[in-house]
Amino acid sequence: MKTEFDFFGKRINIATRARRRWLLVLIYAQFIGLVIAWFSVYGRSSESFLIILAFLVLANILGGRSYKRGVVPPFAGGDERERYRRYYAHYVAYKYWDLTLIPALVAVGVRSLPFNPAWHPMLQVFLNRLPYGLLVASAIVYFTLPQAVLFWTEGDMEEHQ
Amino acid sequence: MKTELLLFGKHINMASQERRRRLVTLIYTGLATLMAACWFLDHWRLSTVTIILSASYISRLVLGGYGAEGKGIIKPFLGNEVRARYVKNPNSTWSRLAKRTIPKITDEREFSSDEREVHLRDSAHEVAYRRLGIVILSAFMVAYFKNGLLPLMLEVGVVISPVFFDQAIYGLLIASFILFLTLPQSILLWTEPDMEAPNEN
Repeated sequence: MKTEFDFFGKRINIATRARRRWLLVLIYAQFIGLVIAWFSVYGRSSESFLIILAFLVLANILGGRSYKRGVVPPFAGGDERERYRRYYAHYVAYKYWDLTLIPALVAVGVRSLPFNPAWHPMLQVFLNRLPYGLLVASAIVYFTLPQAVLFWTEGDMEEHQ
Repeated sequence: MKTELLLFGKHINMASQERRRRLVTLIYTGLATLMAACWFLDHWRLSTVTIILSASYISRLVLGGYGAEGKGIIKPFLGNEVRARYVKNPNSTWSRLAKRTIPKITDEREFSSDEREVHLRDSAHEVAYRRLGIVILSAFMVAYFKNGLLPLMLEVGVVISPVFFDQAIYGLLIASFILFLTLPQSILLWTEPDMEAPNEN
């Protein structure tokens, strides 16, 4: 795992666990922003495409999977310890994935029921868009949670000389 | 992993890989049939509850793994953590309650996993995570195409009802929920080689 994070040419030290956790919180705050933006631009495919691009940039910063330049190294390769840590991170991520998966299932289920015309129009719009917001949240969690678990749980590292 | 399954008081030998694979095939065939039946019944409205309850029941009582009761073929995934808390102070209120609700907690061999089993558990979750991701991403893509492609298709004269997309998303999410509850255990059952059969004496 990297001990420095390159932010537009400026090197930020992330050797300590506390600093890494702050960085992760910031990245996830932006993910939440993207989900809200997705929710707002519902149905407009060009804006949705821009949101997907923004997500890919953020996911590239976090790394893991096949991203080579992120703060978490790519998942392929590594020694036995790293491999077992990666497996464990997936085990933990799997357990927490249901926090978006089950609400998405419920939201789609509710949406398939006929809306009562007496409901407030804003509520109807909200219920109509909610499944898509939760689906995109679920997809983001799928792409990033194992890396986030690894990043969050790794202890303090020696600083880069 | 246990070598036999206790189902409705009947002991079923699950030592051979072939039998375990047959069980996994049977479970997924049954759940797929149930999903199809529920769609024909009411398009996955109230009948979805049947699917969710069936998947939960199979996950906890047949496959095992999830749930601390120690039922099913796979040892509880959280067995080590739960037992460690019990062993730390067996006289605490929590431990006494745990012993009453989970009698197997006192049996380390039945309840806890060794290092190899923990690694297998984590590895199975990694594989399951990737497979399940494909289903979730498919649901997401269907939703994306519904918003992006549907208006374009209307322009060229191809009419597809939005309900079709909604049903496809819902079906994929129900399937993903079933997989979420059962896939890691199924991978473990499918990949574990033949074990020694339980002693009949």
